Amino acid sequence: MIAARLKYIFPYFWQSLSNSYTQIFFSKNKVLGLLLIFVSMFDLNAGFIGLLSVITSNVAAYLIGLNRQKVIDGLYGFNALLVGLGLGIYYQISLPFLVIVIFVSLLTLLLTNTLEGVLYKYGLPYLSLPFLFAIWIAMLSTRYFTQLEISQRGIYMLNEMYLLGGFPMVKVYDWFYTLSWPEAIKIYFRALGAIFFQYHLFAGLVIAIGLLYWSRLAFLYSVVGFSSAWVFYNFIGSGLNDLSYTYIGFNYILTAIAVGAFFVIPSAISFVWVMISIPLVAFLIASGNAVLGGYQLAIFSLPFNLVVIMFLYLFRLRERFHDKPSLVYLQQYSPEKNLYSFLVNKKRLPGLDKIQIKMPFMGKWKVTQGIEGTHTHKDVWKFAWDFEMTDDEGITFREKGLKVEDYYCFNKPVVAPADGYISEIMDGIEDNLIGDANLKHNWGNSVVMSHALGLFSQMSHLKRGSILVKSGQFVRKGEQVASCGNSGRSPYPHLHFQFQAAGEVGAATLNYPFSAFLTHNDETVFFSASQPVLNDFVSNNQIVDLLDLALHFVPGQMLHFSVDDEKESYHLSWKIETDIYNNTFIQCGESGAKAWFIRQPDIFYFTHYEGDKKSLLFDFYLGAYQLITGFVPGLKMKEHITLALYPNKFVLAIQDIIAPFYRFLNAEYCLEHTRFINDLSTPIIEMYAEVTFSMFGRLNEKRSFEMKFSENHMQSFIIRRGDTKIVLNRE
Amino acid sequence: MTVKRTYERPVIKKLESNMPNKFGMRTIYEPVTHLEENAVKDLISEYGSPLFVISETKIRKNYSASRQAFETRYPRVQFAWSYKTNYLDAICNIYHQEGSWAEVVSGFEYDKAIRNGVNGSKIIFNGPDKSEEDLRKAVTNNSLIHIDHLDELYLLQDIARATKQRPKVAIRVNMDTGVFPMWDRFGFNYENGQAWDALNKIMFSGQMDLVGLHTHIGTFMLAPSAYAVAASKLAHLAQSVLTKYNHEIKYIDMGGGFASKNTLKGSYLPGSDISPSIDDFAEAITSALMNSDYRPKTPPLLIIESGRVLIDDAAWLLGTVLANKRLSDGRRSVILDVGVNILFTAFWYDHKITPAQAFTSYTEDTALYGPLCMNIDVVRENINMPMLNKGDQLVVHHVGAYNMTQWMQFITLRPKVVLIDEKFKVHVIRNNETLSILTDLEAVPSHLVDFEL
Repeated sequence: MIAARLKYIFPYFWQSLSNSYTQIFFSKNKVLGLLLIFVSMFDLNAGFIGLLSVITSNVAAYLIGLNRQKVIDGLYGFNALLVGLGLGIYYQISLPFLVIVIFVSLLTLLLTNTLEGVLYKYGLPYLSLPFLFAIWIAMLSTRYFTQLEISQRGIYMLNEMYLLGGFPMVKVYDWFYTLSWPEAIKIYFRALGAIFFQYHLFAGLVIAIGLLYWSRLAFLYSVVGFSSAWVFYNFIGSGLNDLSYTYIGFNYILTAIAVGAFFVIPSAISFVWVMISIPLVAFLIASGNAVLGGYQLAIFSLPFNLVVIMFLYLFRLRERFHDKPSLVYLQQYSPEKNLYSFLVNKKRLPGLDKIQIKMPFMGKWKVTQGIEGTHTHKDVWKFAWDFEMTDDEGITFREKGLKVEDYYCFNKPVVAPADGYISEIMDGIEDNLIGDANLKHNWGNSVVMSHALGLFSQMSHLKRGSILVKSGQFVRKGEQVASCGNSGRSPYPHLHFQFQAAGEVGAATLNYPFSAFLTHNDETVFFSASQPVLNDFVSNNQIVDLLDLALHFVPGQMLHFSVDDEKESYHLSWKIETDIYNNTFIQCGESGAKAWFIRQPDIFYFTHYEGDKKSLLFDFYLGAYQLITGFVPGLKMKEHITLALYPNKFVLAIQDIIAPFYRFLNAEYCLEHTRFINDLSTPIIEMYAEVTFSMFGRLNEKRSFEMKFSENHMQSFIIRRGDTKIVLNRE
Repeated sequence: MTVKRTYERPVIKKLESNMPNKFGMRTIYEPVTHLEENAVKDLISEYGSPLFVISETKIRKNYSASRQAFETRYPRVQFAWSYKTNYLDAICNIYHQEGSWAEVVSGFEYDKAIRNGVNGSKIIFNGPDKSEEDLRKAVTNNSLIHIDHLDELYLLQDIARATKQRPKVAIRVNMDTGVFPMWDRFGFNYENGQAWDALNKIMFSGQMDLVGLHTHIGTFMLAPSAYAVAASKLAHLAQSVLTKYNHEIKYIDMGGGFASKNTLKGSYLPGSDISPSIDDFAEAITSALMNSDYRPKTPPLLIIESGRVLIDDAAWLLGTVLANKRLSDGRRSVILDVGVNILFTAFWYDHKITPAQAFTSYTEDTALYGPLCMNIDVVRENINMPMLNKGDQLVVHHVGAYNMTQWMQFITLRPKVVLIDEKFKVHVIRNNETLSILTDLEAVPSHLVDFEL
């Protein structure tokens, strides 16, 4: 009844509650959430006040109408939680105190929202700054509220243990405490516990276990951060007592996780950054304590907040070396997932934010001068290509090649590489005799097109009088704009192509990729968001209507399959959905699993999988991981898959720890185009895909997939895992 | 060591002492002793004379040049090998390996294409002669049927109704493209509205899928501009169908008929100088299509059914001199073992013919006759040839198109056909006929078996 009512008022109660706890460690892991709630209840009084604060803040955020996803993610809850825990430790529960807690929680929410607004502009997180402001305000003000009683707990640890578990608990704690552990380890656990205002080893131990369960890398970085501090303190001759006494060792731990693993991609270089950041935290702790001590306030997590925000701002304003370290753009709330996705996607998805640019010609051409070419592609004009055509022997002309007409490329159509407006035209320059070069009008007859703000393309050395477009005209991709010629600095006919940031003929060139093309050297290879190199034979990817339509998934569309897995046959439905950020995904009606995808004109990508890996949607995700909308006979396209999907969890956990340095696991996808019955009425295309999971190069698990397309849909999808064969037929 | 010099018979030549003309005083040309590393002499001694020799290398080269000419100008191009030009299985399969579909004009050719392993849906069925049985087969195989006349359209309608299958059809359109003679005997006329009428009948019938439009404006066309006219007329028809029925034509088939480098009889200049290149035809067709009003979502597939231009210069006919003779008017004539029975194109072309052994610069106007005891058997009426002896060998050039399909078993038996592959290895791809091959087909009634002379 209450649950049903709660669901009606605030449907995301449990999720937002758990996430509010885990957000303190930048996590959304449910197990960690339960452990943290458990740890916070070591001190029932504080735990309860913390819970009250979270609920107050989350419910208020939801009812006020703040972003739902952020409420679910606990982003409006964790600061209130910290404030609640902090207050709960100091004061005894009483009615006035509860009222104060509720209002302080609201104040925290206001502070969170305001700070978020301020820092958002700089692309920075607000971390636990709202907590700091709120708790300082609360501490300073509650001194004057005489109805409140200071709690006596926290002074005698054994009393607390007794309250928690009676006499046996006291015995256990005593045994645990007197174990001859190195001092550093004890302090590490205490520091972890101190995040939840628990100053004993138990809390730290439970949190450490939760941390390790959620993320091996986060745990590793917490240890690295802490030991760096340890080494630094010993080095400068400050005693470890300072560290243990202040109980603010957690600043090092959180800073290490944030700077090294959460906001950036974990890597060797991020370890270096962690080590640089630790002494800075130490300075801030010492100096901050000196200042705040005057007001009888604790410094709490202020050093962590300042250092992390300053470092992130530093990383964000870099103009070069963006990969040292790389910032995380798609936050998956797991350092290892972020790392594995990054490793796969930096090669796989570099073209997502790029304009779709095709080759400016039809058929197969050869790159005879590439970027930084030996002839003219130098200095600011280095990002350019010269294209010519050859016959099967590699000769660019027929007969003796003494006339421009002898050259295969001469007078061939030059087409618009993308939609755009014609920004400038130069015509009327005579085509040179073979061997001659017009150095006065070196670009020759040219067309410059504008495709987007700051993205222009220039086609040069065109045949005189062949330009078919007018300045200012809108031209569609693939429409002919002129013919290849031999004007300007062109001793023999060729097409010069370059991207530039300005619309004038001959402006400085721009380093920009073509969205998709094929190279036909020894074998045909598909490239996306790439640039051809010298001597490549290049052609456009020819989009096949059948694949174009079959891979066009519309939100709201249902995919129905009949499944036959040799034991039983049943019906299966998936739905195409989109979220508020315009991301599209396929969702399995039964398991709720989601497979996120991106469709570009030439490629269909699955980017991310979330949910039960036993679902057939997971197989579909693997089998259709990356498909292209053209058919390339003999194509074999290989791609890496994120290791986060590795089936053996135990092995993966070991891999996680050393992942920033060395990967002994490999997950790979290979797509083969097997058959195209290019029938005009009912064309059929068949593909084969294989996903291999291997360890040290030895095959661990293999799945293979057969896909058949016809009548504008994927008609069948056959999965083979070992001896099992599952057939999905479209209904 | 002294080299034995070849004997050349003496010749008396009238001294031309008038004004020098631009054609010069003497003919200079080289003997063709080898075909792709194989000596003509060896080929003849091994496989006999006459002998057809085909070059696989040249075929593939021609094909890729044509493909390049079209594919660099138009986004979607498909070639269909014209079976009637040369339907030896080996030859067809080279084109199929290169990606060509099949274009056939009879039930026999259709069956041959199927036998070669061509998927039914990649066979284009042209021509005025398609029996009901042929059509039923083509409909079942999803082949592309190019309707030639209304009677065929009605027959197809009946078949569609009876078999409950939807034939994939196109119509062949004939039109005035500004060239003479106008081919109006095949297909439906564009100018007088027959073609539009036929398209409406197809669309209204609701029983057929109109997938394409086809034209084939003539043969050995020397004017690329005519193709531009034809392409824009077909595009206009396609646009009319799109406007009226919201139906997209999937392909435009421009047929073939591109001139090869052979020289037509009566032509003043040699074909190698005047025939347009494949690029010229490609340019005319593709620019007309690209600039037409027809703008469907995806541009229609451009089908080219070219035959002659892809194979003519890839084959030679080797022959041997049988005898020398002086005609009554004093002209020299030479009798060859190559006649019009196997060199059918000698009726249309002045074939280039070169000796296969060394000769001196002395030449004589010569008539080349075939071995047939028929007056029409003339290979060249007048050609400047060096002094030939009995047993000398000759190479007839550009014989790839139509000869190995239109040849006839008349007076002599047909010779072998060999293929030189890309490694210059020779393969027999058609054996010579023997007496039994012919007599096996015959039957003599019992009362005619015995006779006494």
